[in-house]
Amino acid sequence: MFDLAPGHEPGLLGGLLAGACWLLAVRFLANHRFRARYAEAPGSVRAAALLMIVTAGIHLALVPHHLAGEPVTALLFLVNGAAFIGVAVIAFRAWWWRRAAAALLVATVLGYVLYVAAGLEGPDQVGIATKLIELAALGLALVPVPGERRPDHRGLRWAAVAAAVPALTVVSGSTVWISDLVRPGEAHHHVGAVVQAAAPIATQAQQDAANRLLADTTAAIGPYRDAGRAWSAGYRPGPGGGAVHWMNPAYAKGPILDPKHPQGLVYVRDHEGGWVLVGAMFQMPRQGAFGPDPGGPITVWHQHQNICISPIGFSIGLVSPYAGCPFGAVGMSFPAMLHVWIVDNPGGGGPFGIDLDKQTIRTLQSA
Amino acid sequence: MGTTTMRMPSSRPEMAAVLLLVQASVWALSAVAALPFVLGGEVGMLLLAALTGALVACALLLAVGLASRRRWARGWTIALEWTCLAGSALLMVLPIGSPHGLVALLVDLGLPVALLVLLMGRRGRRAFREAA
Repeated sequence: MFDLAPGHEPGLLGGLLAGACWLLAVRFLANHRFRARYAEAPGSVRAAALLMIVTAGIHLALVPHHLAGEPVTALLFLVNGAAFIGVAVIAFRAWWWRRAAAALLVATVLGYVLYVAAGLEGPDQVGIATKLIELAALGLALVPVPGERRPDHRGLRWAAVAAAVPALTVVSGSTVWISDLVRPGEAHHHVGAVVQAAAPIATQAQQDAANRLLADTTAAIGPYRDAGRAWSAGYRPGPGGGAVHWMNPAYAKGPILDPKHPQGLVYVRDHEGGWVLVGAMFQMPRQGAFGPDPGGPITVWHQHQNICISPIGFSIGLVSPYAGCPFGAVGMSFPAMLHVWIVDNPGGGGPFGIDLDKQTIRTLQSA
Repeated sequence: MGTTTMRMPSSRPEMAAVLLLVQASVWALSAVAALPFVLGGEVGMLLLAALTGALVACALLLAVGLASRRRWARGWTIALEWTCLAGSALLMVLPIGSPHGLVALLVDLGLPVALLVLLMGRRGRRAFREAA
């Protein structure tokens, strides 16, 4: 949901072009009467019309992409785009345009929610941004402003704005989020992590290489069972409880996947306050690239993306579909990493699993 | 027929109130979304959700103030949006991998800029002076 879906790029261009064309058409092509009405209209009406034209442009630009494989969706986009253009025009001609705009905008947002919930459309940046534009358009279309010719139902319209905008934001955002978590893309292995692509089954050579990496790493980090030696070597504990990562800034730029120089060591603190070494973490120097995977599907790297991290108690969450973190947390992404666990990790995916088994952590903590 | 009159007071305060409501709704989703992580053991997220809830309440209060054309609401909203803009700009510059997608641009830059454009300057000031 944080990416552009393939084929949705024209939607961005379509929205921008439609907005620019609308402003030019109103200025230079519309007849005198329409121009006069446009000039007299409150800014909220002009802004709502512009946003509806932008969303119309986005939907119309997506028609060709969906035409071959999803003709029904393409038809809906076509009808929806045309309807938005029609409502934007009648905003300056008919008194009932607000009802039409509100009905169309609510139906469009809910239609998207249904499509995403049913798995007919994968949420992406174009879709979510369009919903944001439509929510703003809905508020601007309904909001009562001073000096209207028909200033009726002002209280009802304020109530509709105050109820519909937050409700639709939360419903659309939650649906997109749940859908993304329930139906992650092929690359997504678990919440917040993108996993390196690999063949489904490891070859014997890859199996041997993975065993070698585990043995080499276990031997190389053995001395760091004494946390004091890790400290002397430059490793420093990070925040948080459970599996605590000690990172060494000296290795931040490399070497890559060197068992003798892992970027991080992972410890669990026992009940006496001692540090129990449970594994190593290799990390790439920068985001956007996975490291070498000698073990193929056994040693796949993973990359944590769009995680909300707060310094308050080192809490972790996920960035919302509307790109927000709770107040006090910031959205972050990290370079790809590979863990090598030197303790049993049955529930965490084995020696190269993304996470350490929670039961293992609890056992070590109480030891 | 048309729904407007020839000479009318500016609708900037109402537009700003709507955009602030959209912004507050986005923040509210972040607060709601933090709650599952609290159940998952991230207890600190409860405090952040409560802080975000308080921020949403303040934003709603400001939106009501803007719709009522209160000058204090204009001033506080301008301060809030400059703070949001500065924070967003900082996150864009820092190499920490914060979201830079289309939605992030709209929410973190588009909404604050639109609100500042509506509220600042001579026309923004005048819209609130008319009511006073």
